[in-house]
Amino acid sequence: MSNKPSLLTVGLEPDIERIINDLLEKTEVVTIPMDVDQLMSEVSPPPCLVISGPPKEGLSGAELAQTLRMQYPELPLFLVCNAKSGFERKDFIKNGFTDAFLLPMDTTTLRAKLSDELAKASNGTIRVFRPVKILDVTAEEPLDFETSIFMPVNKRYIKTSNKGDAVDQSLLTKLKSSKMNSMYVPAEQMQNFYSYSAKKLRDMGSKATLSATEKRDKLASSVRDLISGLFTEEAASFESGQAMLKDCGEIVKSYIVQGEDAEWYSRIQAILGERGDNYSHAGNVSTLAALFSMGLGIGKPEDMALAGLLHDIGIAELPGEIQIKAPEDMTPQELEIYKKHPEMSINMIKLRKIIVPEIVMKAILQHHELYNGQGYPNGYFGDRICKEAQILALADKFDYLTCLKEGRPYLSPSEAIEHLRRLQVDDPSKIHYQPDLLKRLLTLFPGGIPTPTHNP
Amino acid sequence: MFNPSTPVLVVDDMMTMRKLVSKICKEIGFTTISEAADGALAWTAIQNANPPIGLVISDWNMPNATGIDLVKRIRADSRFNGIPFLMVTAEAEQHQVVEALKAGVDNYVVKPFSAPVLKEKLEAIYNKRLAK
Ligand SMILES: [Fe+2]
Repeated sequence: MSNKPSLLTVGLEPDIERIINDLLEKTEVVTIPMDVDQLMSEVSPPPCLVISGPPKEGLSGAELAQTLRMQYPELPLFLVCNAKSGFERKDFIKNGFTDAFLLPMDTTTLRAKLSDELAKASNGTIRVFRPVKILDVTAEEPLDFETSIFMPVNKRYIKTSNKGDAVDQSLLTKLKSSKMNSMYVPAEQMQNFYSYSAKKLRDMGSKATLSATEKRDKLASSVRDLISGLFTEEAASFESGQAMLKDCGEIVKSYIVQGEDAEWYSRIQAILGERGDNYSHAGNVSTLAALFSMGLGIGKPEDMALAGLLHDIGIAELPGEIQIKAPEDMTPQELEIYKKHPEMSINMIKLRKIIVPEIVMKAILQHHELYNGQGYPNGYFGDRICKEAQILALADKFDYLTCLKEGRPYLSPSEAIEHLRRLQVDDPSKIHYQPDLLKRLLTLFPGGIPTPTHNP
Repeated sequence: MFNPSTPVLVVDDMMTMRKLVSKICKEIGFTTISEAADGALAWTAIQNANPPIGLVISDWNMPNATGIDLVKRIRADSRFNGIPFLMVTAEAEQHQVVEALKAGVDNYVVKPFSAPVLKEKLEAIYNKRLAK
């Protein structure tokens, strides 16, 4: 008997099959067509996870879901589609699927889920490691997660500390001096890593022994560390970049949960979560805005995370055909309507009786105002626009530039940063962000740190 | 427990679900299994069956006549009102089981279920009827 965990795929579209195969190397895959008799026969070896394509051959979504659920009561069942039509995530889940994914948007989440499930199902034969930046790690402090480093030569992970142990000093020195800057944490222990990072960030901001400047510098350098994760080699592809952003998001979430605003944040999340999008612009903007806020010491990270989550909820109230268009493709009339969305977001927040701080409302209302006065809805210019709104705008822009759109090329994080900087430097009429704020923001990104002025 | 030769009628509008439930019935040991695609067809089948149906396993939500409609018809007809009736429900319908029990259902099983679970339910029905 093979101890490799086996996976069953049912009627996958060829291009989805390719994606899945890329995601899984060390796994045995049994493939069957979407055929009722085959669905009901035993497969060997017994799978530990089932991935199904969209319902076809006369099967309804409910039928497919219930059949698989009856056949495999205990297993994770994932549905993977590449066409939006007929993709009703909620219904699929209601009828028995564990989760449903729309590719290519959800590739990251699918990859993460699959790795986690396989790691669980394999009883330790498959281990999945995630690259991380461990903030403020010292040789004295035990970590409640295992750490490893990756050896590119033989493509192996070498364990550097056990769960509950501290990392060796000599290793830390090596890590600091060499280019090897990523450590790895087993996927099943990521939650511990998130709380660790969040706690570090909280401690830095509240340590009584540090002066205000020291606190700010320390936070800035930590945020720089986290953000630099988005620029590493592992993050070069869109999917893994998004996975790292998600990790940052988990840290931000944990950060907020450890603070006073915990309940309030999860309530908002529950409202937004109803929409069930795996890949979420709002989530990304929320994460980035909170990180920018922490790194620059402007506004409260909690407020910025909230503003990020809610900034575009008004778009849902726009006519459907406008919602799916990019602003550059809109007719002048459509654009006029689109420009109402910041106000509509505010209205929806009021309508749903979500209580949010005044500054969050202000940031949302002004998130499309531009420093040169060419923005909307009010055409405010200069310092009339609040800094929180500018941070939100930058987070929004950054995610917009780096996100994958149908048929539209995306920029890598470094390209996006370069784009933001050039735009403002090359053409003074295009000053969209307060120059000093943008300058400081760029220092949070790798390569954006000003070169030291002193010579050795 | 039910005699393996008891004629079982499996009622479900989903072909796959019918096949699955029939398959499970076979696994449990039943040898005479017939199928119907909704409550109305099931009622016709029950009236025409020879030998008579000895156990109905029916889905709840179906076009034409639902599982509830079916059990009400069966209980209202003196020729058939003694047939044991097991209702198959989706998780979402669980809060409505009181309605089903009032209508005359002997027991219910929530989808998804496995062979041992179905067997347990059927044993419960059998023993309860025996005790009466
Ligand atoms: Fe917006």
